[in-house]
Amino acid sequence: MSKNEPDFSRLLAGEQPADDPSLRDVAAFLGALRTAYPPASVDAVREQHLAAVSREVRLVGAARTRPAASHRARRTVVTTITAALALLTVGAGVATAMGGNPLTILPGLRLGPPEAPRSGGPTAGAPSHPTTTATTGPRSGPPSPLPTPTTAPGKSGEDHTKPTVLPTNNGKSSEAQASHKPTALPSQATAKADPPAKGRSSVPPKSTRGSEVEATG
Amino acid sequence: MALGERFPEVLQAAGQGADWAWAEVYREYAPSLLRFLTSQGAAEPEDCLGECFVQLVRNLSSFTGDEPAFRAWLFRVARNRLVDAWRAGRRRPAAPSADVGILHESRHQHEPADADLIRRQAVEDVLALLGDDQRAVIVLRVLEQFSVEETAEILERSPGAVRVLQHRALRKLRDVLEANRLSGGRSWIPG
Repeated sequence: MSKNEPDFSRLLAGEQPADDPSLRDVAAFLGALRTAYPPASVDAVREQHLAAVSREVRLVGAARTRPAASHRARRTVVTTITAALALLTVGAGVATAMGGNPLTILPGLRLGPPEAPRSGGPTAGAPSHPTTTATTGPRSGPPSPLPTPTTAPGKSGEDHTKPTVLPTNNGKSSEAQASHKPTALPSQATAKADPPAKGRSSVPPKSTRGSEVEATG
Repeated sequence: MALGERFPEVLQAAGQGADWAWAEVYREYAPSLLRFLTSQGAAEPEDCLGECFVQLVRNLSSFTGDEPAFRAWLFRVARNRLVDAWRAGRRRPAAPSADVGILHESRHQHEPADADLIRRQAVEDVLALLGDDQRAVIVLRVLEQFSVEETAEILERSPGAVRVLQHRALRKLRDVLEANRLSGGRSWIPG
């Protein structure tokens, strides 16, 4: 049997294909197929189906008005989050520019004992590693206040064997770092000062704070 | 075509949610859709028809074209609903089997037999021997008079694939009917 469309067209018309007499039964069957399936009656289910269609029409119509409102709400949320992040970034940047440690705005953050300045001199971007007893929050300045030695990006020759905090100098020279008094943190535009512990002055004692105080972001 | 010159007006009104337009569409196309679903062995063809029309409401905004294209699109939605129902049946072992032979069981087996019902049962028994797509091609082309291209659109296949399915279906029918005739079974030849 060929895939000849004219043969099938003859079959559709109830005729035998010219080149294949064996299709006589098929032609007859196809004729019987037409009479076996007259157009079906939908009287029993018409009302039910049309009611379902009406309900769906209303749902579709309502859904078309909803997306606009949800889009506006999503846009508002995204805008708010973006603005908050921008504000945090700006605040941290301002704090850093003013020589402060933006991390001090984080509650519960305590700065550990001072560490000797790194060999090779501090450079901008050196990581700040104050010892902390609290989990640090989001930072917007130099890298995290990890108590373990980490490698500052691009740095070499630095002493990372000491498991304590390495100070940063926030771009200051080593002389400035050495001369830095481990006293109160510089005022910061946006950072909040740690609340003084009971019985302590606002100036952190040398035993617990040191030059690393200058660890700035 | 069924709606003819009124088709654009009816389609637009249906898109706007007019009940009268959907009633028109239902009146014109539901009987042939139900016939198609029944011939394909749907377990619950009337339920499937209702689901088809709900789906049509949801997707009407995605349709563009003239009435022949609309008719083909209706059958494509119906076919897809049918396939979904088959797949759901296969996922639920406790449900009636998706076996074609069982799906083709006469729904009138408890009603008084008559010549029409017997003939229909015999036709269904033969159609059940074809594959799903082969059976669809035969019904769409013979009963619904769709062209090869329209049938391809309904089945979401290429026209060439439809011709192959058609050829294989006819060959299968020929073999089955000839074997049946030689074994003394029913003759389809009238007279």
